[in-house]
Amino acid sequence: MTDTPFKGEKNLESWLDRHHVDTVRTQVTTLDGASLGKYCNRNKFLKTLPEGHGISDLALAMDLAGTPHMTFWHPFRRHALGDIAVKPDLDTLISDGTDPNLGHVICDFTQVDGTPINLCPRTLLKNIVAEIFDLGYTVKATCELEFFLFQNSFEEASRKKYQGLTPVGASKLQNIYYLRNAYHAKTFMDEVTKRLDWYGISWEGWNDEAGVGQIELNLSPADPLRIADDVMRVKNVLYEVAVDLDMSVTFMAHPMPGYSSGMHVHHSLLQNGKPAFYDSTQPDNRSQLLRNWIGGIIKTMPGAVSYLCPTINSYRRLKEFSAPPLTATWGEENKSTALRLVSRTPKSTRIEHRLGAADLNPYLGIAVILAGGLAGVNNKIEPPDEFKFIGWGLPDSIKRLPLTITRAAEALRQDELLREVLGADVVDYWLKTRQLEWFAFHTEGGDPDSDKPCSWEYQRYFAIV
Amino acid sequence: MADLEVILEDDPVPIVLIFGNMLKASLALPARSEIAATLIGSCALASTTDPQALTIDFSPGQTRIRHGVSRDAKIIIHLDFADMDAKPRVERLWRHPLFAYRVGQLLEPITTSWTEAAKRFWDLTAQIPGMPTGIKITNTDEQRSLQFGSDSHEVELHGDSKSLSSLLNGSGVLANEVMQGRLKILGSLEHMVVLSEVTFNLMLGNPGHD
Repeated sequence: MTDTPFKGEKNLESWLDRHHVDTVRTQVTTLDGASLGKYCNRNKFLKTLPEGHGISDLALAMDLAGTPHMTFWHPFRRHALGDIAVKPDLDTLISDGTDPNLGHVICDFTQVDGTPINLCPRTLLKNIVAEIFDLGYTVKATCELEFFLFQNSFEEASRKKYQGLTPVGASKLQNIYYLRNAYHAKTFMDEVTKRLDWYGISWEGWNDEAGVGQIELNLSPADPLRIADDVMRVKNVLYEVAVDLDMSVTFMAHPMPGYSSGMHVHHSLLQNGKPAFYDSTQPDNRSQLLRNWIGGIIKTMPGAVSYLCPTINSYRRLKEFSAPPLTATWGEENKSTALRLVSRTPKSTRIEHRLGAADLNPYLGIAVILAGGLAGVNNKIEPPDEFKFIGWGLPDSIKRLPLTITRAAEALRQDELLREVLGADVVDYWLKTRQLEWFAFHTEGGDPDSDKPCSWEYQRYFAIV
Repeated sequence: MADLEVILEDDPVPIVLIFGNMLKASLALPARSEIAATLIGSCALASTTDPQALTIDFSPGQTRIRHGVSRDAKIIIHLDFADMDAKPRVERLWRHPLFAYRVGQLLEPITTSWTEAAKRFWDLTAQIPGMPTGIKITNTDEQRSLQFGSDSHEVELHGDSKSLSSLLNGSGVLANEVMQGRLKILGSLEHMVVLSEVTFNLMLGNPGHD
């Protein structure tokens, strides 16, 4: 059953009445990809529109541990601590199928007078999509969500210091697509998909993934903002169902030895509703737009790693022959390259960007990919030759992507193309947040020589990212 | 005497940057540079509270610093990096007493007066975007103030000689020192953050604004 969202209606009070909503939960996403918000009384919610309720400016200026950003500044911040606003996008207002009196709405960080804050991840993605629209194109995108599911509750997992948890599944081998493994997760996933249906989130399927206890959930393509909103909502639904069923779920990129979790982003461009990456007049069916788009994404990929692999834990995923790409390469139906191109038919033509870690911020992750493509079109960047080999076990002479948080940050610092599209202040602030992540890891108990996640990573990431 | 080069590991971790910065400052003093020139071998420093550790390799003409404890280290100094006043424990001291003594001399904090440190700090950082146009630094031990930049200072910093010297010499981050109660500040959040960034960069050996 799918509920009727507010989108398309005019009378908000009438919609709230009809859906018996007396509390609205606002949801806004931080730079680190954490969900923040408040449960607002209906009257308060209505009273604060259209600007939305206030929230401390630290909400956009703190790390995952709640530590304020005290070693870097951005003009959006108040001079002696103060409020910014959480502005609801009423097109995203829905009711909750499980809690009949609750509504949900997705928001942007703005100044209290409604002025947009370009640092807000959702606002940034909107701006990039608008730039692409101005060129005459729309984007269709989707994400594959990978995560690990455990029989242990979050409380128990914390008590056990995240060691010796029981992954869901029949087998402790790293097999994939096994229906018997999937059946162990079916009760959980039935509840998840029931809630997604209610939320109006279109999902295509889910399956047992290669890691022990790992599941992949695929969403139907939509516009990039909708997909990023859905990803944030899906992550909350997964978390909440896990809490309700005394289980735990994590989007840590590499929560335990073995396979890791990524978030592959598929996307294509349309012009007047027709596939713009496909050109039947070309021998390979690839349009010039596609060539420039790939050229830009490949050229900016070293810098984009910082956004696509944002945490210390993200980099544990980037290992030879463990599925993620290690090179800035592309190839038709090549899953060992960073970009897997599918260009068989107009309808299926798309790029699958395979670098992103499961712990990325979907707004920023999609934004940096689109920014690369946009830079490619704006600067008419030609792609390197298609990579027709296997992308792992390569000779040292083949350049690898940055494999640490600091090297990725350095690559981003030097990337003038991304800086131009995303905004210099946005990139610079992000770089400072990555420096803070690096510094916190090394000085608050993280072990750089450990070949498996350490306590600091579990405490910081397991339940939050 | 030829300058001793301090070479940090590739992609250095914070503790390597911090000690690299300290060692560069130490070796800039001719007396210490002479001591370093006599040293051959490695010493390691390991935190008593977390996994942070580093190894300093002394060889003729250069000093290399990398994270972790080398098996070949002649001595291992166990200490609390967050409390450098706490007495360290030196492992294998009895095997290499002279080496340990000389390394100790190199790692001894450089004693600069708070006034010198303040002047140097202001000279290095005044032009960095976002810095206050003027700053007044008050030593609470001496009940004495120094004023830098414009007369109508935007920020006041208060603390004892030791805390001020430590911060202004690049051994601490302002926000942390204020939250720990070792220093007091009168100024806007923005200036506190910018000064914290500047002191953070100074601690990591990068006094400029990046």
